[in-house]
Amino acid sequence: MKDVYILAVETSCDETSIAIIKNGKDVVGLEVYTQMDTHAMYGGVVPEIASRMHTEAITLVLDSLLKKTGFDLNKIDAVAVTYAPGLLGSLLVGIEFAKTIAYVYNKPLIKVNHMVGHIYANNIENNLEFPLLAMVVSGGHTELVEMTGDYEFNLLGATLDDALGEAYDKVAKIIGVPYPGGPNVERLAKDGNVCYDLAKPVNDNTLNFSYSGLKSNVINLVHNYKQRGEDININDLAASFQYVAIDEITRKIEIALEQKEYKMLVLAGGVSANNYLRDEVKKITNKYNVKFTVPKMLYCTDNAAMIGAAAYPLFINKQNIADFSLNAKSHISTIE
Amino acid sequence: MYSVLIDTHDKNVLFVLYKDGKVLDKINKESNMRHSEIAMPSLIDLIERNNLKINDINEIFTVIGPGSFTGVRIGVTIAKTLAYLLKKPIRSISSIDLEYFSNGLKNGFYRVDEKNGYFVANYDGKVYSNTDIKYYSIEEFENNYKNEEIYSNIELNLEEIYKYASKLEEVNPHLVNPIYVKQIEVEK
Repeated sequence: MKDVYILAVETSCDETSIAIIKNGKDVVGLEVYTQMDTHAMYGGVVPEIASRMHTEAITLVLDSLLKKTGFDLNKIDAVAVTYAPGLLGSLLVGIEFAKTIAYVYNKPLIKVNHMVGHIYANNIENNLEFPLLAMVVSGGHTELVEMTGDYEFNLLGATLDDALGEAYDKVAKIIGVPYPGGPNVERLAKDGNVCYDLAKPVNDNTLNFSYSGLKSNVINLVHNYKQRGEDININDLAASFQYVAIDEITRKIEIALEQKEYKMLVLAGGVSANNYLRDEVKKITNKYNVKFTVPKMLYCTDNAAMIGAAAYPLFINKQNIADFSLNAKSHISTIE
Repeated sequence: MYSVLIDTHDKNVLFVLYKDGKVLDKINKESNMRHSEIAMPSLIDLIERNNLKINDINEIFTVIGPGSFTGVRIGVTIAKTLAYLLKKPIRSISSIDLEYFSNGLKNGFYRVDEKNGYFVANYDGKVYSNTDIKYYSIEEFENNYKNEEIYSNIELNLEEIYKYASKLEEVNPHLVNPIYVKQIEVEK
């Protein structure tokens, strides 16, 4: 069969990324221009500034990709773009850019769900084997998804309130840790002991998650110590929070693995970069003798290679082909 | 010689197709702030209904604001990507230049209305394209410009716009970006 080359574009948050993917697996080239340092000055991603920086960077990122790879754009078979979920203004820059390339080169435009991209990031260096269980964890999502084949999803459970990454960021704010909150809380927790008593969320047998109670718990604890004039050990608090937050994930994964046999478990989304989470999930999959995959760091955080990987089965099955009126969506589930 | 003007800075999406500086066709649509759904299909419609291909376009003009942040970015992203891919010259025009050009380069203050205020630029004959644009709330404007004569709501003259815009300097497509006049929260 003829090789399929997909040019993929990702601008959903604060990374401008473009990739060329061959047959859904080989990364011919990947450029990621991150704005993290700029947003760090403001203590978090400022949506308007993110959109501005995408506009400034987008053609330069493509130019750099083409120069490094020597790739001829005439060889592409399709253009894939993240259309949701994410920051609307940022998504739109990538979408209009992708439409223009699709128009000039007369190629199909494929719309890709960013969260599905995170799952398919696992198909770049490993092979997805169905049925699988995908644990999707990011700043906006905490979803346990079953996949019985390419793009065959069943949502088993999701967060009832805050997402896992959101909980990390909020706890970072409470204890005064700079942006990016999640990685910094994880770093603090490494040197801490689990000694503060925080209640476990949704202690039931559903596959849903909850993090707002845990966050309130941390706020109350910090408040009580302040009132009593006692110092709180932020390393221990970070470790105690992380222990309960990740226990919620592993406990629900265990319930799902008890219910049905799966060939593999994939960890996906920005929070899958968390090493403590990776280690704890691996313990569970070892116990149940289920394969475990997580993308390497470069494909864990936002990148266009995963969008190209996720677009490949869509290209083959002629799904999600978008017309030039494609618009961005800020919120959608992994299974939409 | 075919030229395209792309303007998405306000509530309308405007695409103009010129042949040798004369307006051959145009699309001007109100988009209800759904620019991304209207812009690209309008451009394609304009090119196709004139039996052209996008490669037949020799030069691009893009309006870089000030105006709706997201709106401007849609047109500018399309324009700079086209210029880069097709290797065609691109020139940027401010939304106030559009009025100054339409008014036959008459010197004076020019004003473009915004929801809660005005963008104002002074054309004193020294500069041709003026990017030194200030934003005033309605009250600030009344205080500063009460006694000044000021041009506003000038009807666009597309051929005058071409005549003057075509004399602007070409810009490297990578450096074509919107101008942001109104401050956002974090800049205050």
